[in-house]
Amino acid sequence: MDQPSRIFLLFAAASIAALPARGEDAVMGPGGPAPTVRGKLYQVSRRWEVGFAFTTALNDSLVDQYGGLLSISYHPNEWMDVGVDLLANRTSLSGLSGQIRSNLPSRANPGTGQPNTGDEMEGADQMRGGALAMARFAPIYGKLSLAAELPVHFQAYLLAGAGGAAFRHESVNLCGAPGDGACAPGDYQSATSLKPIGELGAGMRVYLGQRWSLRAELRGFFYPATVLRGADLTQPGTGTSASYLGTFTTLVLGASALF
Amino acid sequence: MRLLLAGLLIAPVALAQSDREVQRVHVVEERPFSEANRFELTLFGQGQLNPRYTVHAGVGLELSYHLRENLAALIAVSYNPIAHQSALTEELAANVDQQPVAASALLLQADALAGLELMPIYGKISVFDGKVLRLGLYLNAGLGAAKTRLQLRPSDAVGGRSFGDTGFRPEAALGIGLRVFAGDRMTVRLEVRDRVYSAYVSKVNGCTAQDAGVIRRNGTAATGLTPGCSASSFGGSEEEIKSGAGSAAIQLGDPSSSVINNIAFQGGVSWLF
Repeated sequence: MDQPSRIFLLFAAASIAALPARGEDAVMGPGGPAPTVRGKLYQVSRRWEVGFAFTTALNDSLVDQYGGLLSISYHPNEWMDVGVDLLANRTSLSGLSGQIRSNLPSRANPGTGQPNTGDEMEGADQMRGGALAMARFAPIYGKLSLAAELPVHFQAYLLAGAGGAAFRHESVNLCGAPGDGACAPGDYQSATSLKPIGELGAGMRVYLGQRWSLRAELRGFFYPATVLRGADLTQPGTGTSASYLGTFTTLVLGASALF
Repeated sequence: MRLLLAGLLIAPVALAQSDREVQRVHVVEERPFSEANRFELTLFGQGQLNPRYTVHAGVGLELSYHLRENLAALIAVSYNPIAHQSALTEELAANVDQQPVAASALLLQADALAGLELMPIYGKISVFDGKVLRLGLYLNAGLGAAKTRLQLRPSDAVGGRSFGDTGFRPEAALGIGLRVFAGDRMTVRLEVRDRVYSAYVSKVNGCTAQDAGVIRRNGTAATGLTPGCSASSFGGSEEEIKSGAGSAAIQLGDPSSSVINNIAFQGGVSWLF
């Protein structure tokens, strides 16, 4: 009996080794065990992604923020993509801020006429728009079976980014006009500024097909913020500026297209 | 022998060719293990997601019995060592002499629940195309009781924060979560649970607004208090008692009721046995 060549044996051994790996995928079907395909049904490597999403700020007690997010990114591999985020928000002070303003304490002592002092409320910054460089890291790919018939493929990811944003700051409790009377609506201290901003987030992408997917994300933004401490309530521009880390959380819901 | 080796060579190719056809076949995969008829003990860490007037963080313990693959009965307890007014609430008091009504700022110190869990959706995840883990998406609901309290003094007061007991309230909870099976005995759970409890505040430390007002003026010398109300429950020193009772008198002076949604994120590890 002829002896098989060494290369032939090596190749045969590799083929045998491959069989148990496929055996792990064995499934029980109507016709008995059958092999299935394991792996990512939807591949994103070396593809561009363009996404649009609606955003709403959560946990921002003094401010309402709604807006849009345009994301453009490139996937060099299956696990990450890098790109830019462009944000635009419609912002205003919340109903709670209105309630606070309607019950503000008097700006001067009614008995003595002496001006009262006070600190400015934190958390009243409104982010109008921004641009951030962003990276997403997506180590988890999964599949859910809805009603045992509809497979839903998804990817979970973390993201981080940094950039700049335009802010409008409108004080909730410091009046923009001198005097000791009640502050008129629209007459509160305000300013606009451009500030560095960072973001951290987590999200999930649900694939609708090779091109389209739906995205849901939670993003936390942080930026350097300031308020006035010990301000003379009758004189705008008084008090000392104090810094703190401003934060807000945003829910992002949208869709993406891969090219 | 050569025929056998040739067959082995052809086998992977033949399998690959048949893959496209197999994708169209309805298949049912045998599950590697079952959680039916097993207990599951879970230790959670939890933090409030909607902290407008209050901040909560703590731990929870849940014992479930899986009646079927997708149905379990559960009992759960949680305790929040961090349960106090938010920075916004304290800032409102300090900067603009305002505060939320007592019912809106009622704190959840601990709770106990009994309920059911349904896990209708199963799936798999792979991490870096490596190990494949099973997961389940579940919903749960329960009824129970909440132990509540009210903050009387802010963090910057002399002696720090102080609290008054406001008793037990009925509670209901709804949750949605993800269970990732790290093996046949251990799972990792991520869940968002909304605890809904009634918040009618009429007494603090067993004292009515009138009682609190009397204690505010007279301290430990207060007399004619409602049975169950004691001045000493507001603090150790005369100053603490008067300031605590004063805060309670103000918060009880405007009777309030509400239904509070305390939405918390819970992350935990389970042991199946």
